[in-house]
Amino acid sequence: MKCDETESQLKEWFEKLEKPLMNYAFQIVHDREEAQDLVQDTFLRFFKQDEKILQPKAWLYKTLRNLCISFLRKNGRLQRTTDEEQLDFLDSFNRTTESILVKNLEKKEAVDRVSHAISLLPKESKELITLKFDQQKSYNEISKITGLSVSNVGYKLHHIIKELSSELKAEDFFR
Amino acid sequence: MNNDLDISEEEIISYLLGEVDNDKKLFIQRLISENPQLQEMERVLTDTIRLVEQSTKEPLPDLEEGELRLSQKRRNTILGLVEKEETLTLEKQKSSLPKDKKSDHFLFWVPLGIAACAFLILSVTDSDHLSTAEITLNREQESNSEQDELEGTTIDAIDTEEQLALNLALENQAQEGVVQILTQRSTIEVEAMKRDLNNSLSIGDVLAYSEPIPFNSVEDSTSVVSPVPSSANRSAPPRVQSETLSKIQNLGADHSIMLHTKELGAELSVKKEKVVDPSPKPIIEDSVVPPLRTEQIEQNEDIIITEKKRKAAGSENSTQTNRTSSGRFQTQAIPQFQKGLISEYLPRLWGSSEPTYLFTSKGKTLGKVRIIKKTDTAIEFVRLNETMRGKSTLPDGLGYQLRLSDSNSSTVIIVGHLTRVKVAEIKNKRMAKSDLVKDLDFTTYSIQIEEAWKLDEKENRIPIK
Repeated sequence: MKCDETESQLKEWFEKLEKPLMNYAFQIVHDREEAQDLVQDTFLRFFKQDEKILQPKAWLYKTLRNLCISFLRKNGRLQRTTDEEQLDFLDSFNRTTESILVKNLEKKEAVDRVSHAISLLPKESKELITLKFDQQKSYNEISKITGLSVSNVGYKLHHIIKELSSELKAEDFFR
Repeated sequence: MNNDLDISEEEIISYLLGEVDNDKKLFIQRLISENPQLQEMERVLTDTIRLVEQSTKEPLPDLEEGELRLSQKRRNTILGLVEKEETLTLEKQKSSLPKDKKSDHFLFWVPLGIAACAFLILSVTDSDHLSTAEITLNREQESNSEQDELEGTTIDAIDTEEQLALNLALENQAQEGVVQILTQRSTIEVEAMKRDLNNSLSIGDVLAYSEPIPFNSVEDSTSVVSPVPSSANRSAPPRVQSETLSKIQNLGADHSIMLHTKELGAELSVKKEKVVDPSPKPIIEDSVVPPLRTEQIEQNEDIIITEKKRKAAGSENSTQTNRTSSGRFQTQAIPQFQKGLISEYLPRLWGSSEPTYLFTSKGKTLGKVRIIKKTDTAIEFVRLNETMRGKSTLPDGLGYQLRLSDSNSSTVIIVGHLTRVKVAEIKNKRMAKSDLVKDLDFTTYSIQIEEAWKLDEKENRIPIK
């Protein structure tokens, strides 16, 4: 194997990320069969990859996302074309406008990636995220609602954010 | 927590989430402003928190647990690829090991091959000095030596140089063939013939010829060569009453002298024309004919008898028509030949333990033979190296030569017509040498003696009458 993984390790990666990647692809393309095709293609590329893969999980997510976006573009289901047409139309707004639009698109991809990551979290963690970021509750309030200690709420939320930031950074979202 | 920094990542997250008091907030702000590394950390965490805030507002649809797995077919495809990749990896690892062995083999075989080639080149170079037939003879003798070992027979060691010289002489004789024998007469031989003709008739003359040998050159191939004996002369056999002569007459052997045609060479033809007396020889009375002795036979060895069995049965002294190189025919007088003299010489050969070899008329060796029966006019034998019994049977034909040694270790060559007496049962499988000895089902041949030569010390051919 190209990433210095043994057969058992490769299977382990497959078993570990099959469901998350399947869910992620479905969340992007909203089609189960297409999602299966894309996930399969992702894993096949993963096993056939000649270059050494340092971060298999990040590589798999990034590859699957690119495949999903390509699929959506081919099927006209991505608004990128509209954005590009707007770029042509708004050419007078110079390149700043273009960069904003590209950034917005990348941001959308990042939001979807984070949403997917949150969807994979345990129910308790999801509840903490909802209380903190959707309902803007403080640690104390969350502690009272969930019955967890303030420090425990803080620890769990910090841990989630740290993990997310690491994954997003590994997937080149923060360039 | 980064030990190089004065603040932890958790504290920055708490700060970004608004969970720190004002003093701590100011403290963290100051540290971040002073440290670019903290600034980068703050930027990443801020973006992450912002993305989380946005993602909570736009929840994504989830698949149910049962739908999250790939279909079994897709799983097999993927996992099969994993196993295949693993197999390929293992094969690569395995193949990397034998490569060293292969290189070892390569290093072993290449020098060996080069050495073999060098040996072959040297062999060929050496063999350039010899002839192909000589090589064949040597090889045959080698194989025959092996055969002798199998048979338990004893072969006297032959000096290598002598053997080479012998083989060279044999090759010369064999390749020239019986047809060209006359062309190889030396001046000495011709002069001897002339002397014999001019002098009183010897026993050899009487026994060898009933009428003169027309060694005429072929001046005109279209005409009949002169002199052609008349039918009256041909019908009158010599009246020789010696025991040997009577034997000859009883046998009724008639041989023809090999024709001397244009292609045999003009120079030699002129020589022979000068020395040969074309006149018929007189009839010799019984009293003139001395008793035949071995010494006399040997003294008359310089007289060449080259003859061929006449095809036309019943004509003792008939003319023979041969086709010349121009395709035309000429007629030669056919003298009578007495086999009895050879038959008297042959008994001296049987006592020799030297091996006997068979050759074709062109000198190609046919291997060692074992004589199983001999008469005055024929020798019956089997080929000892006939590995394909029944299939490698020799065809009948003229000019086969048997090479054997007499009691004086002199080489004797007997030329004659080969016939198959008994053909061995056909065996489809090639026999091993060890099996050749066990299997007694040999093809038996008989060679009708037509002429015989002896090789002197200088390997010159001396005919035996």
